[in-house]
Amino acid sequence: MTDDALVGTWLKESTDPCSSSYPDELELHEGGRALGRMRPGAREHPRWDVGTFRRLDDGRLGITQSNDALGRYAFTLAGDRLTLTDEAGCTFTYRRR
Amino acid sequence: MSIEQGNGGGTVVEEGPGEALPAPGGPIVTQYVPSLPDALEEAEADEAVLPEAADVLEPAAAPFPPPLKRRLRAGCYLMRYTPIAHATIAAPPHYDGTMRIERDAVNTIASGDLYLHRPTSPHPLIPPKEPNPAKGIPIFAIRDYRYYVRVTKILEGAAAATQFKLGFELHRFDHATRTWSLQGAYAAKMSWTAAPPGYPSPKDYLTGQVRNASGVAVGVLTLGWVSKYLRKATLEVDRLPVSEPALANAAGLGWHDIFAQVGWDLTVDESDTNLVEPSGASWSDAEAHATMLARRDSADLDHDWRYWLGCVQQLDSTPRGIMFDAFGTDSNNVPREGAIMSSHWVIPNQDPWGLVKGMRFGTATDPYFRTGVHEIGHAMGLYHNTIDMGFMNTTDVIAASAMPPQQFPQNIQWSHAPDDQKRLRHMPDMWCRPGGVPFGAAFSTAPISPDDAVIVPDSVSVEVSPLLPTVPLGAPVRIDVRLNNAGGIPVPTDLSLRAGNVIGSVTDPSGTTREFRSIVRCIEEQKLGDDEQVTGSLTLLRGADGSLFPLAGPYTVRVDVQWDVDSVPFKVSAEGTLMVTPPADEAHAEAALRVLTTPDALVTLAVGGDHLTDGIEAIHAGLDNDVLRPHFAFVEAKRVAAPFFDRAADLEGAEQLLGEDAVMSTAEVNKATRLVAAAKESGSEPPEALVSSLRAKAEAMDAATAVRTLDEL
Repeated sequence: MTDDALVGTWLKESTDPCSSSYPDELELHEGGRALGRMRPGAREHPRWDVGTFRRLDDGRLGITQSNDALGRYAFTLAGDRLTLTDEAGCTFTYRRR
Repeated sequence: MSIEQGNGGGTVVEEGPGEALPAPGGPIVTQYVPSLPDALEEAEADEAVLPEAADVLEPAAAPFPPPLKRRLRAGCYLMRYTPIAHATIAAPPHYDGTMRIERDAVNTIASGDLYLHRPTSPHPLIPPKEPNPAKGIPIFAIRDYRYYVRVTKILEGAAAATQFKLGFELHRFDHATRTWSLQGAYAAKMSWTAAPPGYPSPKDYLTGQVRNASGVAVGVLTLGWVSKYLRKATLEVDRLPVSEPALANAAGLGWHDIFAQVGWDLTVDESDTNLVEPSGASWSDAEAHATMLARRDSADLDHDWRYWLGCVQQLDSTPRGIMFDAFGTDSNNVPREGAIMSSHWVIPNQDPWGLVKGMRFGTATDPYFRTGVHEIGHAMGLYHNTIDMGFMNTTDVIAASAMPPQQFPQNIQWSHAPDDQKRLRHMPDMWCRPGGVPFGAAFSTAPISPDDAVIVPDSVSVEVSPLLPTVPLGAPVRIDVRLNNAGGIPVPTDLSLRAGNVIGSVTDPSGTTREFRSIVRCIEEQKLGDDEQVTGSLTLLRGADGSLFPLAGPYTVRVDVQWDVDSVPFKVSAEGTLMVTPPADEAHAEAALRVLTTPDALVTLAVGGDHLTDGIEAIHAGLDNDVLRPHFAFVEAKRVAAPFFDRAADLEGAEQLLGEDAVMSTAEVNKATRLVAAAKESGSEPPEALVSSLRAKAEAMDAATAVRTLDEL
């Protein structure tokens, strides 16, 4: 799988509180740009706001965070569903729009 | 009726409780983080204003003769609120804090924060020790933070009085949830009075009784000016011996300069130079946090808003820099205290890294320092912001946005985006001070004073249209501005940049926005009229941030026309678009480069004269090029047609310059006409060809006044 397979707009399906800081909508662009947005009225700034994404050598997905750290996520892509697990063990799912 | 107004041809830019306060733990209404203040409603007919104080210490003596107007001086005020409910107690608790007053030519935005001041003396008759106003901006303990003051009105008037109405909301902070809730709206009639001893500007002191929304007196508010800055902080920079300290950009613009732009008095403490790598060259976030705790000079955030920046070789979690004191890394649970950056990351030797390809980051001074400012911006509560190429945009985006002939890092904007500037000035203390609200809350959860209470009148509109839809690279850009007034509100009769009513911005193809304003401020009283239509022209070349049109591509020019009527601010805005075409050939490219890189070209364009040789030479470089010549012809003609000390007006020279192809705005045709008329009055006979040429242009532009004047010559 290449990074291009991830390109697109993704809508968060999970409602688990542990995933609340992750954006409700995530755009992954060709060239590795990432842009996250929260729904209006959200109380949190998206953990991924403006940044980059790339597959890491260890097979995880790296997405830069709002404080410029590179977050590392185990992930699976099955059809239109992207499932990620962060380093704290929180698993959450996006569906391709 | 149509009035044509010129700008003198030269425009250039730049040089803008029955409910007293509740006791801690009182009722909470809606939770959120309060919104920042907007610019404020001003002026009531029966209330007045005195002249703004100078930035110097002045005696407390009453001014004589009495000034007619008075306005709140910009800067930071020591604020004290004493609820009436406690007035009968010998040492009542009250609230201390700061009020921040931001002013530009038109707008006022104000905000403040209040901290509980408990009686600390064991003896009830000994009052608590108060902040010393002579020491400037006070710093209060985080645990005592109680309220954000969202200022909604400062009704400074125009009559001879020394009072005004201050409207504000109080937003109570809950330390457990770290959110604000609206407590209520209040109003205070503030009066200038002599300050108690110790204030640096004794005449900038005010007191007023505070009433709640029901009109019940609930307390007393005092404000005393203590600093021209709004906030005060310290940045400690520690580093490895092999890592460069991030202290300034290549042009020498440093931390203090940058934060002074947003009203912060930021002191840099260049401290340790001997940090030790804990586990090799690359640092984890946790190692960064532990090192900050171990090596910083002070951790007393109740007396010093101290941010820490470490400069080390490399980082585990990112190539360039990180504000590590967030999320799970914040081991001491004190958010946003520090950031770290890497000096030994090697910039990829490929596009889009421009002029710094392959360089070690610490040696790439501009992007390296910018990263430091960016990370400390996160520590101050800012998030990524792509509205422009300012500090909180990401390095990746800025590098990818550079458009030839500009290369990264030339396209770095050395300022914060306007919305971030406002946040740094007016977000609650707890949002931006280290140890306050954790990183990651949405901006919308904080209060902020209203943004801009400038009135946009329905009856007045403005149209902006470039004289030419396409302009060659290096040429000045002429913009026509038309103000339409349906009546009811007096409007400016002068739309030139010189008059000070017009400011604006230019957004280039990369998305970078640069402001322009008059190089000369009008100090005369504004002339206002209720004419149906006023037109003017702007000639744009450079702004404070450099060339306004530095590269080929599409541009958007925004023009704001702003004015006061009896101290009530009004503003109308509009945008126009144009295309800057790329160099036609090498000669054009060289001439454009000369113009674009010569700051004095702007001054020569604006004010003329023979004294700025660099500027004149740059203009001549434009004149010597076939592509640019028509665009600079009037600039040079204006200069030579005006006498300069012993040099007489050279109308022959002007006539040779102003051929049919000379690009001139209506304002410039009017200006040229006035110069010719003035020359004739002083005894010089204007060349007939010049008069004919001008008349043809004036007729084509329907510039009736100029046609009439030329006919009379």
